[in-house]
Amino acid sequence: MEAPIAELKNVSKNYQAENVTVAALQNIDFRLNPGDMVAFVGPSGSGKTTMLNLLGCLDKATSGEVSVCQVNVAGADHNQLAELRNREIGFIFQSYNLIPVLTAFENVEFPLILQGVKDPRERRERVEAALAEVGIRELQDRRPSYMSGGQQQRVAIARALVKKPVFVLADEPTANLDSKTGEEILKIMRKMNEEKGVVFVFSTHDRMVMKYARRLVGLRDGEIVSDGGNGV
Amino acid sequence: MSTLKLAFRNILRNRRRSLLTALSASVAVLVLVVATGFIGGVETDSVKSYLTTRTAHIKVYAAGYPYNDESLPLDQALSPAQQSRLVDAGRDVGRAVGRPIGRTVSGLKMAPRLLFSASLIKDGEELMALGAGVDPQADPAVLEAPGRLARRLTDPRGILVGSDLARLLHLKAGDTVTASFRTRPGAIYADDFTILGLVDSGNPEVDSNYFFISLGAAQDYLEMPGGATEWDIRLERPDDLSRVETALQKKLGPEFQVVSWRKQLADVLSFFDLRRKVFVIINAALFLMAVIIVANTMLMTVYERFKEIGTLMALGMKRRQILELFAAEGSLLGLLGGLAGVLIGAALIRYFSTHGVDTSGIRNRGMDINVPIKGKLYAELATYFYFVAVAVSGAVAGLAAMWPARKAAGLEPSEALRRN
Ligand SMILES: Nc1ncnc2c1ncn2[C@@H]1O[C@H](COP(=O)(O)OP(=O)(O)O)[C@@H](O)[C@H]1O
Ligand SMILES: [Mg+2]
Repeated sequence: MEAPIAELKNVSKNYQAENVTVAALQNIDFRLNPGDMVAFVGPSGSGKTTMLNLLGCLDKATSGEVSVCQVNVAGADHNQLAELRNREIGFIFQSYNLIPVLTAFENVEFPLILQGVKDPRERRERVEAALAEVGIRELQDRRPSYMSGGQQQRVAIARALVKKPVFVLADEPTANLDSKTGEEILKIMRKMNEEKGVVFVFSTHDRMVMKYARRLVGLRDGEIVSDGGNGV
Repeated sequence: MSTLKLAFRNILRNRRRSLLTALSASVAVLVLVVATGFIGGVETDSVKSYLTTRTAHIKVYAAGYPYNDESLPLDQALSPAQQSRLVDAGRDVGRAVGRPIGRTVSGLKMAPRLLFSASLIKDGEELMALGAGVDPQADPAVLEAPGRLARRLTDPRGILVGSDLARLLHLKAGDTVTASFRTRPGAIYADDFTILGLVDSGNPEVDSNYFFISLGAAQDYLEMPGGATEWDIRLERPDDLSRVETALQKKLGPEFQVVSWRKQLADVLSFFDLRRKVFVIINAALFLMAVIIVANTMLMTVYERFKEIGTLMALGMKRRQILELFAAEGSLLGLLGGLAGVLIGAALIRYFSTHGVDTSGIRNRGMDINVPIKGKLYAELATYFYFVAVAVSGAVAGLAAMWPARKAAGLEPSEALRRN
């Protein structure tokens, strides 16, 4: 068996909110494998975002062991985690989260600058290729406020993919889009997965979205209740 | 996309808020520049006025002579023997410090004065005045009041009167006036004198108190042959001040007191100092307001941009870089605001350094503005100060942004992303 891209062993995550401890995740064991196209599915509050935050090194587990790209997250400091996110992990958000003062081009270029890619020609080539891949090269000089939700999410996908990450996390990537646009976004992700082997992890509670995953992990009240191939 | 460029675009997001915030820095910097310009200009012109009309660079008195009060005692004058020692010492020191300047080798010029209390009486009106016996030849080389007019003092019954003093007594050149004073032995002497000219030195202290008479005549009337209460010294190079002061005092010994203009004007200089301190406090309050406004704006910005901060962290921005971004935004507000303040300030200084501000209106209403300058007040500011002012503004605003910036940088990425 290949080494996992990320692995959670007996992981729990609690939140402390006004003297009440909320168990967002309990005793989770999970492996993210090369080639995966996995969806966390479950109702609101079931722990999907928490799961993705742990995989994305945006948060640390309360107990258990999280390793991402062979890095033990608990033992890493915030600079190391920032670097890990920058180099290995792509992020796609429900509300796109583009930087409003940057054009589409600059948004996609941003992670490369953070990576220290110095040569502007190299950056330009990579950004233009990423934008072309999601089909919006002609919008590269627009700022987010001059783009539709679907267009913004495509920019976000380009921004996640331009750095050739080991895996991409997408938290309810279609929740703010109409179903047709949402499906186009999913098709792009699926295509990237099939053609380039990009590993995607997304979360959703939408049945339509689930069919684009190859592996479905069911979450309920912070526990994994099912994990298997997508039979749909 | 450099941090600075990103910061610049971010401050353009909410233009009105940024403008108002930057404006607070503009006001602080504008006040800093204009007030410093006027304070500097007034100090320079004041010192120049004192130097040329009253204090010279150095004065030498007999030990114990109370040069700081208005008693002007004649029994503590310099004797002729002391004066010749003084002249010799001056020549030696002058030679020691002198550099060839044209054909003059000596570094200093000296002139004796005999100061005495008197009153001027005209048509039953009597005003206290300060009589100064001056050497018509030597004095103009040292002081500008009476300056060249001193050459008119050939007649022992002729005097020059300060223009304001003359005005108060309704006197003009050619009029006669009665002068009354006590001689050295203690007799009261009163006689009529002809006004040979009016002295308009620009220093109100001189123009409203002094009248001038030839030294020889003064010595005769006061019955002090060869006497002088002080010798005034003008240096070719003002930088030699402390060297000459110490050298002279050392040569002359304890029978004399050598007093530089700095010592003579100690009260004035400490007033300058106090004025600057008061201004610093007022200006610091303005900068503090700017700090509060910048901090408030940046704090609002941070709260509005929680999710964006989370995104930047997800993309791999480090805490230090987030801190730099927000500090840069605050700094830019201060720099741009400061720049605007400096530009307006520089325009004002430029205008007032040539046109000046007329203070005669204030004076005519009888207000004392504590400045030995009768005409206009001119501003003066070294160019480097503008750069300092902008830099201070940027640094202060950057510091003001530190607290909000630290708040931004200290967020947990997952927390920041959850907010809206
Ligand atoms: N920062 C937090 N503080 C307190 N409770 C939280 C926090 N984040 C998540 N939770 C709680 O943890 C549980 C799981 O949340 P989440 O992972 O966001 O679920 P989902 O994404 O599936 O809707 C929920 O009950 C939620 O209220
Ligand atoms: Mg969620």
